[in-house]
This record gives sequence, structure tokens and C-alpha cells, in this order.
Amino acid sequence: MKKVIEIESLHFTYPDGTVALRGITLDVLEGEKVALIGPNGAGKSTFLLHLNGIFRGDGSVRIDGLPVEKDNLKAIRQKVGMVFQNPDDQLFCPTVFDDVAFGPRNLGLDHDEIERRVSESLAAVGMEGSVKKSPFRLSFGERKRVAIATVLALRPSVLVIDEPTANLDPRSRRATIALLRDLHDTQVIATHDLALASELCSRIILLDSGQKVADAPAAKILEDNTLLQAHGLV
Amino acid sequence: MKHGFLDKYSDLSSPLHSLSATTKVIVFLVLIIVCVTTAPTAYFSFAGYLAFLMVCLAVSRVPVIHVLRRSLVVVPFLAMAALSIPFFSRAAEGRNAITAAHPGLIVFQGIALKSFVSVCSLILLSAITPFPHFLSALRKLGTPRLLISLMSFTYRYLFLMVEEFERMVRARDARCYGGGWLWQTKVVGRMVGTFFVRSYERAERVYHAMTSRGFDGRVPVEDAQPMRLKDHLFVLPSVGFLVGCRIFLAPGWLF
Repeated sequence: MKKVIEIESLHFTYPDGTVALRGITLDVLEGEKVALIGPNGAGKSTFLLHLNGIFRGDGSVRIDGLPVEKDNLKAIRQKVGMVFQNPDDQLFCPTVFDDVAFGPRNLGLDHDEIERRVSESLAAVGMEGSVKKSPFRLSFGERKRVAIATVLALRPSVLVIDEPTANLDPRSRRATIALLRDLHDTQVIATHDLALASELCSRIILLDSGQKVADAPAAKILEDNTLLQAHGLV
Repeated sequence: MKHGFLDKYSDLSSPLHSLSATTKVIVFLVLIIVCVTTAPTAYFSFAGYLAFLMVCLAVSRVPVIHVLRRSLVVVPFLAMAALSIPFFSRAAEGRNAITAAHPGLIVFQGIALKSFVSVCSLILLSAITPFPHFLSALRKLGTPRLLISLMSFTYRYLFLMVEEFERMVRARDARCYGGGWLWQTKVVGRMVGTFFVRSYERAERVYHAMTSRGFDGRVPVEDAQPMRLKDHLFVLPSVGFLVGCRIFLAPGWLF
């Protein structure tokens, strides 16, 4: 099977000296849905920001065989669809249309193709009725969906999602899980929601203190209560 | 959300609402320019501008009270201007043929009339033009991209910031906020500081989210609606009327 993400001994230290990642090595195969779990401050978000070169630590990161380097950033960011935890950070345009069209416009696509991608992406998340609305007139759950649509419009080869169910009510949470199940093949999902991980993901990677603690099939990790307890996840 | 939107009423439907945003920006820009260059004592010109505004207001079906209430924002500035009246020298007296009033008063009256007309124009413009259309019209008329981006971000995040500040205020009040004024100013100072840091961090996160989607420094703006026949039918007579008011109804050609 093709490797979509290849990472070798990735280290990262913040400018203030905080060590965030201490040598992470892992691969994600095409079609896999992988959950990244770990307590607060484990380094999950920092790790995700390495996948499209926003942070660049020591070690090697490859997406679809392409090394994450300055010259490749545009191609890398098209391949890695990154959905941030807070949709208000992601949606910054005056209308939903503009926000979903932002990525395709940056790719320099023509007008018809942009419109096609916008309607296709909004339809995929069930928000086709909101094209002309302003993001701040939508509910939190709706904004979350639109945030997902904004990266689908790039047609990425891997979807990277930070806390997809955080702050959602149970119904929106269910809807989001159903959406992610139907969507896209390869996904990396950082989450505290173990139920989501067991429902959606075939594999779980446990991160703590910037290190990979466990990497195994989802069922195996979720059964291991001692492990989960040791890392503050239950 | 308690606070009103900047472009409240812009989703009504009326002949004015259906015009291209570029048309409306041009006409109201002309109105403001002729207004601020009119002599303070050219009452007939000002009457013409106000008549134009009132006709637009009536056609647009925007409630008059909305415009009047928002026009109150000029009051503090007028108060500042009023303070300066006594400092105008009487030496300039007699320069004006129509009235022998204190020159400071004439200047003040000019400022008051001009700011009222200009502010009402802007309020009406914002009530008949959705903000995103307004931005693309400005872009089409040659406004620098950086300014457009700034306005676009302000529009998007203003409400969010107001809400965030309201949440902070609520959290503060929920903990029995009180005490002497010195303590209170200290608390407010800290809140403003925290707010600044939070906004700064948010800006960083927004920037990350933007670069993740291939942002390269230019915010793409949607194309402005084209100007059609009815737009030209509105622009030409309006501009003609306004410039006519400025030239023919004012005493003397220029100031």
C-alpha cells in the first residue's frame, strides 16, 4: 500500500525553549483513518502543523513522497487538507462562498472550476444552502462543517483534522462523525473523543510528552485500560 | 448576538438595493465630495443634497429612524468642533456677503451640515449595499488590495471580538466586580491587555489556517457586479443633479 505520510525522527522545540516533539517516526498509508490521541499538551497540534510545513522541525516529513520543504509548500498544502479546531480561525471571509473559494483561488483555478469546487464541497458537508451567508451568521456546528468544506475544495490527498467534535452538541457530534465516515479515504484526526476514535479509525497513535507511546489497531489500544489511564485519557 | 450588523437592511429588496454596488459607491462618493467642497452658507446646495438623500431613503425603504439614530455618531466630533468657535478671529468678518455672523459660527455650521450629510450618505450606502459587494466595488474602483483586506478582516472579526470582550465582561461581573475606581481602572487595563494578547494569538492561528490553504499574501476578492443600463440611468442623472446643486445653487462658484 502507498504511504501518504512518512515521518522520520521528527523533533521540534518552540522558540521559548519548550520541547514539543521528541523524535516521532510514523507512516500513514493510503485509505487509513488514523486517530491521534493524547492528553492536553502532548504535542498533537504541534505535530499536525508539521504535516503541511507551517512548523518545520528537525527530521524528515514526506507527503505522497514529496519532502516538506520550502520549494514544495504550495503542492504540499494542496495535498494536506488541514481543518483547525476553531472554525472562527479558519473562516475569515465575508461570505461562505469566498471562504470555500479561497483555496481554489490561491491555486489559480478558473472561475467555472472554482464554482464547481465550491458547490461540490459544500454539498459534501450538507451546507449548500449557505453559500451567500456570512460565516458569523452560522451556528458553531455549521461553521465547523463549512471549515471542512474549505479544505475539501483543495481536493487534498489526506484530511488532517484537529478535534473535530470539540464543543459540539451530541447531535452535531453524531453528524460530524457520520460526515467524516463518508468522506475521503485518508484521514488523520487528533481527538480526545475515544468513542469517535473507535467508531471511525482503524488505527490509533498515542502521543504523550512529544513522544509516540503506542501505535496499534484501534481495538487493541482502547482495550488497554492501564495504558489509557497512565496517559490521562480515561 | 446583541449588536447590530454593520450592513443591517442591506438584504431588503428595492430598486436601489438591486443596483450594482459600484454604481452606489460612485454616486455617494460624488455626493460626499460635492458636499464637503460646498461653502458653509450655500443653504440651497445643502437643501439639494438632503433632498437627494431623502428621495434615496424613501426609495430604499430603509427606516428613517435607523439613519437618524446612527447619524448621532457625529455628535462627539461636533462637540469638539464647537469648542473651537470662540478662537476664530473676528478679523475674517465681512468676507462673507450673506451673513455677518461670528466667523466661528459659520465654520461650525459648515462642519455640522457637511458631517451630517456625509455620515447619512455612508449610513444609507451601508444599508443598501451588502458589505462584501461594497468591498468588491471599492476594489474595482482601484482601492489598494491591502486596504480591502484590512476592511474585510475587520468586518469578519469585529463581531467576534465584541463577543469575546462581552464574555470577559460577563465573567468579570459574575465574580462580584466592584471596589474603588483605582482598582477598577487596573482591572480594565488588565482586560485590555489580555484582549490584545488573545487577539494577537488569534491572528496567528488565522494566518496558519490561511497559509494551509495556499495563501500567498493576496486576499482574493470576488468580482464586482457589472454595471448595467439601469445603473447608468441612475448614475448620470444623480451625478448631474448633485454637481448642479454644487455649482448653480451656491453663492459664488467656488468657496
